[in-house]
Amino acid sequence: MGARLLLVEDTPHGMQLMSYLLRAHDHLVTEAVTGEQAVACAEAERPDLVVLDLQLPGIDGYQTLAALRGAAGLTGVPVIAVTSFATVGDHDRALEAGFDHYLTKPIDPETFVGELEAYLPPLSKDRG
Amino acid sequence: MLTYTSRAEAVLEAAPDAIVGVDPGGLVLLMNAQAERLFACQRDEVIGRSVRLLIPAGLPADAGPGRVVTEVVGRCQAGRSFPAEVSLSAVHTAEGPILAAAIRDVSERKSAEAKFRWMIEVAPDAILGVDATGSIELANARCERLFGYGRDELVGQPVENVIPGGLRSVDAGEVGAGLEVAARHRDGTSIPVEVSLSALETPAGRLTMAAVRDISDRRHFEELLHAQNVELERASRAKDNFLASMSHELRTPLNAIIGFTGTLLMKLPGPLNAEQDHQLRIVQTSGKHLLSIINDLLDLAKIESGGVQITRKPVDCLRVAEEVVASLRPLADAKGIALGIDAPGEKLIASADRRAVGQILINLVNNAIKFTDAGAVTVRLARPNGDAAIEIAVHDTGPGIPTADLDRIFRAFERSAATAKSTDEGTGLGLHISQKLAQLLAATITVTSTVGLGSTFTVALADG
Repeated sequence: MGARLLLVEDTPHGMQLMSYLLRAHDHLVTEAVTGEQAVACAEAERPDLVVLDLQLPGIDGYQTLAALRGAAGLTGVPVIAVTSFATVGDHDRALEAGFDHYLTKPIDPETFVGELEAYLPPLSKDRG
Repeated sequence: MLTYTSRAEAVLEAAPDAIVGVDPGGLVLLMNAQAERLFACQRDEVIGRSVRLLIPAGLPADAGPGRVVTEVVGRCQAGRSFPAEVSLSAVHTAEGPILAAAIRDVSERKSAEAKFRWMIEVAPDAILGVDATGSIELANARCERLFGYGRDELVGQPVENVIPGGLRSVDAGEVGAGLEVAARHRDGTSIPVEVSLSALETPAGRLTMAAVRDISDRRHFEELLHAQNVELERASRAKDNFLASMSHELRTPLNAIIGFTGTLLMKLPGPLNAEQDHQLRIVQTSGKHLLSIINDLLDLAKIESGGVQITRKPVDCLRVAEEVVASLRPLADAKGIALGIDAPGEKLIASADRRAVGQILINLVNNAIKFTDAGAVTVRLARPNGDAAIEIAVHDTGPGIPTADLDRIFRAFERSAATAKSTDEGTGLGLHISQKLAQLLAATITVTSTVGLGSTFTVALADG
């Protein structure tokens, strides 16, 4: 059994792609399409890692990150930004905001899963 | 009280002013040499005759001893009139009372005054002369237009009527420094003005001269300019937002195209036959090509809209070159091309923006690898002849560029026809973007090339 990942993405095809790749690598995926949903899911399930699109309807990725970082039960859960805002400043801004890593869309299907796995806590990696 | 004696007569004769003695009936009794000179006559011609020969209009009714009468018109016997000032005193003599008039020609003073008034009249500003009590003593024609009062009405008014705070409010202690205040027009409207003060010493005392400039137009232009700036900022923000949205909107579908082509090619859903694999690779290559065009266009748009921030810092050129070479090594390896760096022992530190230098080098090295089928791509660092500029040269053993094409290749979407290949993934924007970035850095990119031997693109950066 793989790690448990929470995917937060509002475009259906983008979600399908990431979800498919992760499941193909034997990970368990929970899907959320808004930041609010994501925070609720994360608090209920405490995933091993969160993949968070920066542009979301309602609260955006930055606000969602702040809510996740503020939740008592979620300390130490890595959060990785995925965004189609790929201009230079966006990258720095995301890392400054406290994301553990930053990936741009289009994602590279060959390296995507590996890049996420590098941020998984050792325990969940063992399970994977 | 004087007694008329011959000694007194001698004194009279020697007096510096023109003096005329007149009896109560207005007949001239005596005059001195200065008076003869002033009125251009001999005393014999005048004595015993009416003083109106000399002062045709006479003196004002209230003129009397002990007073100085100004604005008198004297007439010299040659016919010329002149402005005069007359001091009167009563003298008692054995023959009866005499009114002694000391007469001074004030032509010169009058003409100096006239010049001064003329200068004030033609001044581009409204000018007010204000006395120590704050009362307006003098106003030029422009004051009438600015304040809506006739000049006669202005004189005698407190200056507060037209400059509500008075001149004290504009006296910043520094004479001549303009200060912006609100003046008041007769109709009650407020006029933005700039007031500069200076002091003027006059026989009647010290006047504060206030040059009052209507700055309504300037204010209007300032407001217009401000509004335009706000509009430009808004337009610039709209452009930035547009670029960000474009980036997002174009990448979202490409994510699915490139992503799912990838999963198919990774055979995650199942096996592919050779033709399916071949066709999917074409989709993948085209998708990636489209992505690089979009990336380049967005970069270019961002550079041209001024959205690229250049931060000059000392940049270690060798480290940047090493990073670029490391990131492009897989590309060179795949083509079987040697990729290396040739650097001197000394550290080369340029004053530049690290990211911009990196992007320029990536474009140049990427191009060099792309157009070279065999041989080597070498990045050479140098400070030629101890010159202040640091040169980073990217040399390849590609096909070279014909001289005729050398100035075309920096333009957007242009390539040398001799090297363009149908399989080539380039966007035709890399060199154009590099050139734009170099301009932002005040750096230059030059190229030398020999067909059949290769090309060298050289970036010259300012020394850090």
